[in-house]
Amino acid sequence: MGVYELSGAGSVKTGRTLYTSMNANNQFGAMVPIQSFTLANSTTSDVTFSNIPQIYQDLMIVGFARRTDAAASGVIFITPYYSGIPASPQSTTVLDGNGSSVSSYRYTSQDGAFISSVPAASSTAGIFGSITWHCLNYANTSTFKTSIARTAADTNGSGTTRLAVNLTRGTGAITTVSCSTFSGSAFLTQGSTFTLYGIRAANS
Amino acid sequence: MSMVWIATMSGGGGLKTFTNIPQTFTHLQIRMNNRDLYASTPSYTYMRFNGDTGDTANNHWLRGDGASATSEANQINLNYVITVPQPGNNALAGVRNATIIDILDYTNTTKNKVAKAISGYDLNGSGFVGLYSGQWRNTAAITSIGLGSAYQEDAATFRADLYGITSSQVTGA
Repeated sequence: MGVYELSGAGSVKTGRTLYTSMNANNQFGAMVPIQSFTLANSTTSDVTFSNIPQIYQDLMIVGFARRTDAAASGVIFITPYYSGIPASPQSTTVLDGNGSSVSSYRYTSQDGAFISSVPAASSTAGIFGSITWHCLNYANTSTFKTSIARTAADTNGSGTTRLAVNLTRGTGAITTVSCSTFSGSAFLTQGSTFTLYGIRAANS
Repeated sequence: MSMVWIATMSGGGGLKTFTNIPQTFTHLQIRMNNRDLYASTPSYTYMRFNGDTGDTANNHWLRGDGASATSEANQINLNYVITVPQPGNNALAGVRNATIIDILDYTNTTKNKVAKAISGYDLNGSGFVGLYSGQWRNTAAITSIGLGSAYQEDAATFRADLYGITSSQVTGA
């Protein structure tokens, strides 16, 4: 954001002067929005962030979602990948609390990352699940990729709070992240939103 | 609120320190993606404030290992505020943990300091994911944060990024 000084009486002409110091100490925001989806209907099972710029340190997705299938809840698979990624590269360790017990379980060698849980059609209408997902060092080309997510939804008598970590066993830089029900018959509910941010490690 | 990058630390071995932390933010966040050269998994990263090696901290966690969930509480009189697991040198090659630590109100001089973290790693058959918290029984403003392997063997690729959370306007956010 900046301020331009305009010249020329009676008309707007090309700005000549840019004032950049509208912020305290010339600080630059580290959390940069890249792309956002808000679903206008309930007919799609996935949204995909593609061609992700490789200029950030980490990625972050903030989501608020619900599924349309006849269940109390279901998984939103937030899956990082790149062209040429090995087959079944995802594995997830999960920690869940459901209001009466806590549990931990694991998925290995999967195509999708079982990393979040949101309400589905059998839950009270209008209740969506809150998702915050992070993938650190996503552009590194010598390491596997670890992502971690917190999700939560309470339906006044049930619900799940989840913390999960996912490994993507590939050293390629992540260029695509899919948010999906992984089902041809379970869709994302109208109004579900997903926003991708880049996290910078620089002050410019 | 906006998030602003402050500094990056890197390098192998033992404890490394963010020093002279600006006192102009409201909260702090640390983001790490690491593994250890120590030949056992899990290894651990620990954190200290202001170089305090006295027994002035206590912490607890809720953690899952893929089979069961456990909680250890009220470990007292520690000389580190928080500790999170990371893969050691014998773990599946290429895997690093993901850790995000939040420290709220770090400049306040009337409150004891509390840190909370989410952290985990998965090795396609083992691993941990958990919520961690720690208290530093000291009301001093935090001016330095030490991080490093409990076994003094961080890989040379160790990296931690420090961010400030500010209510001031920033550019490009």
